[in-house]
Amino acid sequence: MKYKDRKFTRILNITNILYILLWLVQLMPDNTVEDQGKFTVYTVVFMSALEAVFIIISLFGYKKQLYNTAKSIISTVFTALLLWILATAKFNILNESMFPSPELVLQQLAEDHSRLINDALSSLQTLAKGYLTAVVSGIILGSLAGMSKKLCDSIAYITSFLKLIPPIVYIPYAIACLPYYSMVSTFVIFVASFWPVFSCTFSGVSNVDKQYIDSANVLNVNVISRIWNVILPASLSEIFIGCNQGLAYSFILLTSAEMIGGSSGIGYYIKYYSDFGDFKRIIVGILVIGVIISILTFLINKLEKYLLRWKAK
Amino acid sequence: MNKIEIKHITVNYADKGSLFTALEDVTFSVGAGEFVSIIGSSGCGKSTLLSILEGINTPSKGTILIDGKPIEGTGTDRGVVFQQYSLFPWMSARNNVAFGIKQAKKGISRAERMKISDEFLDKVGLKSFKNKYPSQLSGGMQQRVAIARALAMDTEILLMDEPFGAIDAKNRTVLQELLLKLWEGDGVQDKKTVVFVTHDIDEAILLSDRIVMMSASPGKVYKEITVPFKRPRNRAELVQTREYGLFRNELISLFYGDIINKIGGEEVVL
Ligand SMILES: Nc1ncnc2c1ncn2[C@@H]1O[C@H](COP(=O)(O)OP(=O)(O)OP(=O)(O)O)[C@@H](O)[C@H]1O
Ligand SMILES: [Mg+2]
Repeated sequence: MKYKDRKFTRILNITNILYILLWLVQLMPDNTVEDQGKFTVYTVVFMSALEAVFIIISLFGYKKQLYNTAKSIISTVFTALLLWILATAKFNILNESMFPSPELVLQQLAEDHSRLINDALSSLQTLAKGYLTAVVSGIILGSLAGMSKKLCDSIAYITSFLKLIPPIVYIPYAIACLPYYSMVSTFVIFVASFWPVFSCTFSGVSNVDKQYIDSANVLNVNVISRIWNVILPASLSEIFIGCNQGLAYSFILLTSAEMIGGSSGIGYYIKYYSDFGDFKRIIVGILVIGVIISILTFLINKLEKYLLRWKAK
Repeated sequence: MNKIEIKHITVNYADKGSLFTALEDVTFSVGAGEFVSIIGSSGCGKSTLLSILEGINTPSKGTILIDGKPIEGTGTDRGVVFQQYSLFPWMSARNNVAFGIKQAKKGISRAERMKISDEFLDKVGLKSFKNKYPSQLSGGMQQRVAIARALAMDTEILLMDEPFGAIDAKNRTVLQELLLKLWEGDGVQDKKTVVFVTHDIDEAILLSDRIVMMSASPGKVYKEITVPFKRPRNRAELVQTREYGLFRNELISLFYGDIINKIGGEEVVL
């Protein structure tokens, strides 16, 4: 009985209903001056691909969590798509040239895909270089600073001052000092994400519960094992706060740097076409950035959950 | 020969500019292979004394000798169970115990560590919980893991601060027997030397060779009493004997007598 119930809700649910609604909306006549294409191929392919993923997960994904995540993500995308189509192609409420319909945007996305992949890879590369260096050095230096008692107070003052400076102000300085612009982006991302990682690691490490330090002491744990097995795990949740904050800053800085002076990357793509007023491509760029950020945030959250699985729920 | 010699230990804690004397001129010794219990009212400095023996705290005055040598900090010769059970929450029960074993016995292989760890978790009745994290265990279960860790480390000295305080009567009896068995060893090795803090007078009588009674404010040694009963002690029989009753009464009157002396005969609510 229970099983049947579940099967039933796996057919009649919000995502599938939205999918049907989307089809019905496709049948409505367009109401635009500009030609929106005879048949909305790209939109249909896109939504059907998502629906196919959803159906596969509902049929074979026995993990309830996976099914629920897929359901909420895909139904959100469908809702947004539905409203977007209605507001543009079907009722033309928004300014047509500034807000192109999803069909046009998806078409553009398909057309530019190889370029976009290159730009996305270039952005990710810059991000990886700057962010990972910041995470590694922030954790190492933060732990060392947190463990040395004498430095504690002065470091706390210095970091609380430095981390308040918006890293974007370093861009002109970095442009003047560094030979390549790609180094400027990397540098600024590094600075932006270093401080949160450093200061959170520092505060985590310097506040490790005395009880764990005492345990490590009576077990005669040596320095390396103490850092690896005791101090880092004990400060891990604070370190993750810093890493998440750093990642958020990195995205802002990455796109800003690319828009200010880059010659590749998604930020540059958006900037380049905004000079021509090409709103289709601006939206394509924004969507690509959004998807990349979501995926990275999702991955880092997964990693955090895994590494902190020992915490009481 | 004395394994541990505690000589004129005084401990002051700084408290907002003024000094608070937690222990004053504490002196006693523990023989090699001896089981000594420390009893005393709450706040009399038992944990403070143990923290000095553990080497995580240094006395304001006095010295501690182990095997005739003054101690310098912590050492692998001492296995410890804290009053606040202190497992590492990021390690499973099994890994907590194995980590202790790794520290105590350098060069032991991973497989061997895991085997000993499983053995001891089985002994404290937590076989089926070995892969759980401390946050998934009850307070008493966490304490049993901490006990398993200290016992599995197989050190010459065991320092235990109310180890069975949070454990139910049935498991407590099992653990007391286990502790005695490990203390006596297999006859080949020397007996371990145990310093055991407890609130429970019966527990102290059943387990120890000697009882050190402490008095409070400031913490001092009030009396040292040798337990006159032969080993092995049969719990059920012993507690019914007249001698046991008399000895227990004597301890209790000493214990309460000290408190009444301190307060000057006023009514005491305990
Ligand atoms: N870190 C500290 N700083 C200041 N005072 C302390 C500190 N630790 C303990 N004390 C004080 O020292 C005294 C002895 O404390 P201790 O923990 O040794 O008592 P105890 O005999 O173990 O008590 P219980 O049986 O309740 O565990 C108490 O009065 C306590 O307030
Ligand atoms: Mg105590």
